[in-house]
Order: sequence, then structure tokens, then C-alpha cells
Amino acid sequence: MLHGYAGKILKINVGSGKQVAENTPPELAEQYLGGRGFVARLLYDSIEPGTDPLGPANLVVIATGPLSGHLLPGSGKTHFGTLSPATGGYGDSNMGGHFGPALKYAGYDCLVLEGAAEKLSTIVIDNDKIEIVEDETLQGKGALVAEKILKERLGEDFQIITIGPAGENKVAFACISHDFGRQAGRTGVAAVLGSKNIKAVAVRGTGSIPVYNAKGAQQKGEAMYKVCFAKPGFKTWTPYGTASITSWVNEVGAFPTRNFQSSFAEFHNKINGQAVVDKLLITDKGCFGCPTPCGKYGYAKTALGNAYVEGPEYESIATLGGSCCLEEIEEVAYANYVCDQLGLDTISAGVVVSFAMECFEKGVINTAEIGRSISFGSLDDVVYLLEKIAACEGIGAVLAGGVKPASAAFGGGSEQYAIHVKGLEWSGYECRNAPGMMLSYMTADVGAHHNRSWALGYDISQSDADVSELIKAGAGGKMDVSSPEGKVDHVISMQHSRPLYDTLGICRLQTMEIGFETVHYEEVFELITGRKLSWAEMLAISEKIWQLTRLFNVKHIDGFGRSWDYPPRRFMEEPVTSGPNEGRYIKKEILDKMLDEYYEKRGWDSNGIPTPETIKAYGLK
Amino acid sequence: MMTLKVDVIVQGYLRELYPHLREKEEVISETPLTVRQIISQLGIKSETVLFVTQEGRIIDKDYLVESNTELVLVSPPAGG
Repeated sequence: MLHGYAGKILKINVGSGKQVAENTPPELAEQYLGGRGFVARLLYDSIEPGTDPLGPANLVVIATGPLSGHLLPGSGKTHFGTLSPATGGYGDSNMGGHFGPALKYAGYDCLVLEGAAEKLSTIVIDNDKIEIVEDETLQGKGALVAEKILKERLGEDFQIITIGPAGENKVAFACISHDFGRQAGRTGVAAVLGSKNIKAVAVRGTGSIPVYNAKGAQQKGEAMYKVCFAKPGFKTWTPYGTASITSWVNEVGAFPTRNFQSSFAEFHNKINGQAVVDKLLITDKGCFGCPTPCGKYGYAKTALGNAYVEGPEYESIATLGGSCCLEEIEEVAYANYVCDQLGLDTISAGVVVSFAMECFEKGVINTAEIGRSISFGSLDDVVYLLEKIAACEGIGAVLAGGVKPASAAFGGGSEQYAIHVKGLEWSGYECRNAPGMMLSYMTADVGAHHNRSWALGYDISQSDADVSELIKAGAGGKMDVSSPEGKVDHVISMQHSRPLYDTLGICRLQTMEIGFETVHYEEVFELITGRKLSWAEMLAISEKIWQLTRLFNVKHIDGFGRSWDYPPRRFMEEPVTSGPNEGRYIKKEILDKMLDEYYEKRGWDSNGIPTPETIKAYGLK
Repeated sequence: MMTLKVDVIVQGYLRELYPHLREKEEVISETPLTVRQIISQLGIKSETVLFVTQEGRIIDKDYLVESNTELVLVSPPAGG
């Protein structure tokens, strides 16, 4: 018996209706732990080169971790993976909420979907009873609306993921929605669900998970909560959630503004964590097992409409607020709500919309192509473009592929400011004076995403300059944190530690924010699974998974290599236009130096391909 | 002359950045210090601290700290 795991992997061909519940292979759990590890291994083994990401042969893997659903802090995480329609390579996204625990209580560590249904359908998993229900009445329904309809139909004890119109229309950055405001946003997993004609998956689980030492695990779990509650930062961090970082990011000159032309927004105080609390907040909202509920549920009133919305989180503030220049928190929240209903990733959506705005400003696209004039700072224009994208209408059909294919279609030099890596739009940190963070984005397996390594704090800690003094003095361009020395080791270390949380099925914020010690996870992991693993040994597994996802990209992307690891030319050639980092950029020679060191330390050749010796050393094939 | 004694809680991502620090540090000074100066005495760049709290309330980094108080240094969310 696999303690800690549900014990089954449920595979459903949504075209034929065939369902198979296989035992979770013990060697898979031993070598890849769960969550992200299961996703990476199953995708690597099951998808053939040349597979169309939006064709029936692609898979959507939904995986829990060995700690998901147990009585311990932050155990509500679920991992999604697929051959990404955004990048053509490895794609995954992580989500909080309650879905993963429900899946485990239903008896499944993993859900693997293949094929394509003939008509729009919902998968209903009620413990061991599984149905694929055709239901075209949900067609075109917002992701939040669809969840409400299904909750009313099936019952509150079902946990449900849905896609919006953007997913149905296979927008490359469509996101999965859950619990009226949690998303698996990145890499377009929802577009793949849409290609399979799956509008929703609903799960009710009433079973239990075998635990090696149930009494010990329960006592340890309770003790872990007490440790969290006793942390001095517990009461002060939770009220503001991730939005608390907004003004800080602006002050250190890393807040994306006007499609990343600048890294400093004068209006940051109107869209920061305090603004969320003052102008939107109704209540805090937490995920399964969460002692530090960072979700902020609120109500936004704008000239365009009013909405109840969860958020905005920092990333949505950065891309919809900073990059699109929406200067009021209510407007950011409303744009966030529109994205949630349409089923669009707020990160990519904000970057795509701000890219279109800059293209229009520079005369690369015109009013005839767009259907109207558009400008930074206009909520009306943001919503107009979001709706066009989700419907794949007019200019929206081009933008729906993301900034990489859109810039190829628009031409006019727009690839210079198409802000992405590997085809995935950049999230909320401008890096022209943060080389460690830049390298993090460049080498992240899914593309320009921040949660694999967040090295911005490290970049700043290595600086000799005092940012606050520079701001007071108005001394833009004088701050210098951009020495690349020593950054590579830090980035590599974080690329193992951050994804490990996604592998175990837990939230990292308790550790990162209030200092919850990782030794607790070692102890509870042993009590739950009966397997003794140190945190260092778990990190070694995470390192192996990192090598595997690189190999996935090599396998699936024609010509994959070094050229896929560069940021847009803006970051290598154009100076930041304002703020403490005014005048800064990082030359390609410096990035090449970091890449050379990074590849060497990873055991990859100069083109960024894992060498045969490396593949053998990690036991990969 | 009165001696200033302040306890400083260092937690989360800050402990990754400054692994030489313990979760609870003590700063003693013969002269008055601001929050920013106390942070600096611990070898921490003040820009790496998201905000500082005293008795659960956020205080300015230029605030002059009274003796026998406890400051909590809060990390940036480290990835939003």
C-alpha cells in the first residue's frame, strides 16, 4: 500500500468514454513524489513528438502530491500539465483551492485526460462513479457562471474546475478556474481542455487516504498549525496578501509599466495592497487547509460595471494595472473579473493587451485593424480587447495566440517589445537591473514565469546602492545591482526549492512569508508516507524533475536550445524610461555569460541541451 | 545614558537571503536608532524588507525605535 497517496491514477479518453483506474506505480511515487513530478513524467512518457497541442493526442494531467489533502497547513494545491499551446513545450500551472483534496478523497492521485469529446461536456467524478455528461447549455458561459450552475445542479460538496469562453475558443493563454477565483492560469491548459470539448470537471470525494502513522500525523499536523499561528508575522502578513508587494516592487524599480517600457509607476499607491483593503475588500478567503488566507474577496465599482471579484493578486495588479496603466484599483479589479469570467490568465492577458496598446501607439496596427483606437489607461479599451481575444474575433484572433505569434503577424519591429520567453508572457517583475531575476525568467521551463525562481530579493540584497535614497534624490539611473556574479547558483537553488512545493502538493507561502520551517514537512512526510526523506533528498528529486522538463522541451520543440532562453530585445537594448532604474538594461554579452555558467552547472552543452552524461547521471531516459 | 535594546524577528525569505541570521536577533545600542539603522546593523539591506511591524502595526523605516520593543521584519511575498 502506498501510504499518503490515494493509490489510483484515473485515465479517461473523453472521446471514446473509456475509463481506466490504474494503481499508482510505487516507483513513480518513489522517484517523482507527486504533483509536478507526476505531471512531468507522465507527459514525457506519453506524448509523441509532433503532437498537436490542440489535437486529441495531447494530454491534460491533473495531479496531487503526497501531502495534498492531509491535515497540515497549505495542503490544498493541485498541479496541471500539458503540451503547451502557448510554447509548444512543457506546460504546467499550479492552483490552490479544494479540487486536489477532493480528487484524492475520491480515490485518485492523478487524472489523465486524452481524446476529444464530440460535444461540449462535463466530467462528473463522484467517488468511483464517473460520467461524461454532454451539456451544450454551458457553451459560452463565463467560468464563474458555469461553476455556479454546476454547484447548484450537483451540490456544494462537489469541487469544480471550469473553463470560460476563451478556453472553448482555444486561446493560448486560457486559464482553468476554480472556487470562484482560484486559477491555474499559465501555459494554456484550459485551451487544451477546450480542444477536448471539456467545459468542466466536478469531483466529489468522500473516502480517505491511507496514512502510515495516522495518530502521529494528526498530532504533527495540529502542531504545524500552532507553529504557523505563533509566528510573529502571521497577523501582519495575512491582511494584505500578495498585493502587499506592489509598492515595494515599484520602489525597487521592477514594476512593469506601459508594456515594460518603464519599471516605475507614479500611481502605485492607488493600486497597492492598502488600496485593495480600503476600496475593495469584503473578506479574506483561504484555500484548503490554509492558516494564512491571502485571497481577498471584494467588490469593485467602475463606470463600466460592478463586480464581486477575488483579488486582484499582485500579478494581476502588475500586468493589468502597471503594464496596461489602469490607475485605479477598482478598474484593475474589474479587468481581473472580466478575465476570470472569460477564462483568461490575467498575467498573459495584461501583457498581450499592453503589447497591442504599444503597437497601436507606434503605428504598427491601426484603428481599422483593431476596430477602434486604443490607449494605455483606458479600462474600456482593456475590456474591449479582452472580449475580442476570448471570442477570437478580429484583432482578437491574432492576439489570442499570445505576443510571440502576434508580433510575427504584426511585424513592424514589434517583436522587440513582445514581452515573453519561449512564447509565454512575462509576469510581474521588470528585470533590467535584476540579472538574477532575468536569468530566472530566461531559464524557467515553462517560459517567463516567476514562481520557479524569484531572485529579485537576492539581486537587491547584493546591491551596494540604497534605493530609497536614490528615489529621494531623484537620481534615476544611478542604482546598480546588475553585477551578474554569484547569481547563477542562487537561481539554480531556487529552481529546485520552489517547484518542490508544487511536487509535494503544498503552498510555499507559509515558508516564504512567515518562516515556517521545512523540517516540519520532512517530519510530517515520514509520518504520512512511512518514507524517510530529508529536505535535501527531496530537493534532489526536484532537480531531476528540472532536467526532465528540459528534456521534454528538447523532445517537442524543433530547434530547441539556447535561442529559446533569451528575453525580448527590449531588455537587452532599450534603457528603462523612468524611475530608480532609468537608463538601465542588461547587454546580451552579460546574459550570455550567465547562460554559459548556468548551462555548465546544469550539465548542459553550450546550446543548452542536457548532455548524455547528465541524462545518465540523473537516471533519466 | 540609556541603553537601547530591541528584539528583531527575521523570517521567511529574508532568512534565505541572510542565512547567518537567527529567527530572533537582539540589537543593543548606546545611541538612539531608527528602524532602518537597526536593520542595517543586522547586515540586512533595508530594501529587501517589505515592511516592519511593531505590536502588529506597520511602522515607517525612519521611525525612532523605543527600547524593549520587538520588531518583525516581513519578507516580500517572493513571487506574488
